[in-house]
Amino acid sequence: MNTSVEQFHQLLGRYKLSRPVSPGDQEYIINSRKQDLKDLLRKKGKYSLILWIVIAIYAGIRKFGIHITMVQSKIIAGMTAVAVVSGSSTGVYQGTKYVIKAISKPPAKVEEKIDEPDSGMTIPDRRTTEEKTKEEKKKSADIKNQDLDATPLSDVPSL
Amino acid sequence: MKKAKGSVDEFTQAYMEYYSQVFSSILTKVGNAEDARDLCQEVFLIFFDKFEKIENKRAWLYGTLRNVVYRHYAKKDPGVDIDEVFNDVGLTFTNGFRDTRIIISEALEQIECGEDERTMLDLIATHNFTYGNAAGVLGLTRRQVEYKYGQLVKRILEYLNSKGIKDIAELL
Repeated sequence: MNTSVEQFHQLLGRYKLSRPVSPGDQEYIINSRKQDLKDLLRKKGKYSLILWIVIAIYAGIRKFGIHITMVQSKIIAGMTAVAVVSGSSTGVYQGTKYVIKAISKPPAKVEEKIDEPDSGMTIPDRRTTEEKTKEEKKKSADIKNQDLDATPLSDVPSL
Repeated sequence: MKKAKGSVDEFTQAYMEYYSQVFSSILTKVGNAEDARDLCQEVFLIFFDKFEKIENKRAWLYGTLRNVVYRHYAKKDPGVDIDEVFNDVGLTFTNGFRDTRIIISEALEQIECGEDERTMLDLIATHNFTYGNAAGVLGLTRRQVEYKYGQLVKRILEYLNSKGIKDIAELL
């Protein structure tokens, strides 16, 4: 098979039926294809990001040796968009749900227990005797004042 | 005139399929990659405008590229002969084997094959594209291209055989 292909190429060369393009130019042609298409669609006012994504999918998949049409690449683009949108909306929903849950939670109650000193323990009274008598006098004066306030005033003059 | 969305898709598909062939053909005529790129763009701009009316896209593209290249040369030299530029098979006497050349050329043109195979033939046989580069253009694997091209060459040789060329080694 290879011999016949080689002979066929020799034949084309001999009868000047081939017009060879150097490998460097081949690369240049392949690389300029997409950019030129972009420029052309822009000139004609048909360029859009969505169309470009479809073209990128079309060219990318064909590069891997999978023969697809533009319609098929549109379907792939659509399915990818749906997957991305549903994935991100699920993420947003879950995130919002978590935040709402965190906000609506009642504030945590911290239980504090202060240990009372043992009943058997006595706190030593460090007051001086003078202070003690002063305080007692103040207390009895207060009681007297309270008694006076409580006694209703009589209309009958006292003797 | 407003183009339907579907026709933009079809145009894109046709563009991706024929771009490399058209560019290569122009490049072999003008010899400069930048000039060839501009002329190729010119061809496809006209192709876009007339896309819906064109039936045989390949034939139309080759006809238009011929006119565009002619205009390119005519700008430099108004007396240029287009047939000389395109080195037409029927008019050129190469190595004294005009008839054989016509037969081989006919074999290439008339062999029954699909659009992909025709593109393959143009790229590999005419423009010496590597299998890998042709695979990238066609959306096939390198192996698939190698196998399909082998089959295509086999059919061309059978055609030549039917025209009385029993062994191509005799012609070399």
